[in-house]
Amino acid sequence: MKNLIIAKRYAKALFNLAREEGKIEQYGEELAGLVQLFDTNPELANVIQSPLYPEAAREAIFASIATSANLTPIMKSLMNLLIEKKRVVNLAEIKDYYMGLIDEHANVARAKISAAVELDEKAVQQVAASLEKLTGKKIVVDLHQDPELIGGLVARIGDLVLDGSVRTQLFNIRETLKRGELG
Amino acid sequence: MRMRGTYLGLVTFAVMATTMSGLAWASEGGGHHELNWWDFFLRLMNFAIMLGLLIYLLKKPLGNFFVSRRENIQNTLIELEQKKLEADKKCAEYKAKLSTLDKEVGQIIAEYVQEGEAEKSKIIEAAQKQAEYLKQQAQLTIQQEIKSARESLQEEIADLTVAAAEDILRKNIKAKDQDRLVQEFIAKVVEAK
Repeated sequence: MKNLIIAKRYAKALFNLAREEGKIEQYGEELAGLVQLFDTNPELANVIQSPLYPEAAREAIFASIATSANLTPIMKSLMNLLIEKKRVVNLAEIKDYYMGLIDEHANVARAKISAAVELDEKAVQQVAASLEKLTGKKIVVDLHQDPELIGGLVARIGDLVLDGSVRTQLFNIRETLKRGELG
Repeated sequence: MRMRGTYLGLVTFAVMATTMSGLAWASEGGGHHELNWWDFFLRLMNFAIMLGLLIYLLKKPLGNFFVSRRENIQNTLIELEQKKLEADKKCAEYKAKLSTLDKEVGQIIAEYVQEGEAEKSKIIEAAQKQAEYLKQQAQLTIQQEIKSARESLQEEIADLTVAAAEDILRKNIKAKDQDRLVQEFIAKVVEAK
């Protein structure tokens, strides 16, 4: 279960330290790397997270990982704290919130764009530029292809949804016809 | 009652004595056909005394008897007269009633007819109201059914139309159409700002 309050608390603390040390991007990369490591090695994640194993053993395992990955001391301390407080399970959420803080700090917004067909680079840049004008932030595009849209595209930035798909237009036409507002 | 019994006893005795003396005289007369005046006188005296005694003894009771009898008869007559008057009165009353009976019967019939008419009006009015209500309900149901059918038809038409449009679009949409849609999207985003 996601515990956003806990994730927010740890992520903010880490971000403040990173800003003071000027290592915002580095901590972000290390966090993302750890999450990826646990995702690709569920057994390792289980050992690190499970309270069935002794805390000292889990810290020792993580210490060897940290040494081989050459993690920063702050990141090692954070992971030991998470092991001690049994919060390793919230690592992915901490990473997500931390990434959000990085984006906010860099005035960056992430746009998930779904298009019916594959868009060329120029079109993507034009869309990103228009979204930058709209939000006033630098847009990082996460592009997906969705043939179900039939035509056009849909952009999602946080809670904001901009729908220019043919599928939605057809849906709207159908609802209008059902209400008898056309003809 | 006791006095009356005494008087009756005396009267019976006197009658028996007179009869016995008469019989004695008759039996003697059977043997001798000559009249014995002394004997006759004695017998007469006997009879007179007997008669006087009877009159003396029976005068008052008989008088009383007859007076009471007369009073009884008078009372009975008065009573009967009164009953007759009452009967006459009742007779007159019944005659009067009989004479007004037809009128009363007519009045009662008229009242019943009037009540029946009122009841008839009420029943007709209630039936008309019920019929009006049923008519309104039926019209409402018909309108709802029509509305529902129309909506259902519209939905079906909308689904079929949009499905057909979707098929046509999927088959005929070209790259330039996609480009145009992207440009429209960009224009709308800029406009939204």
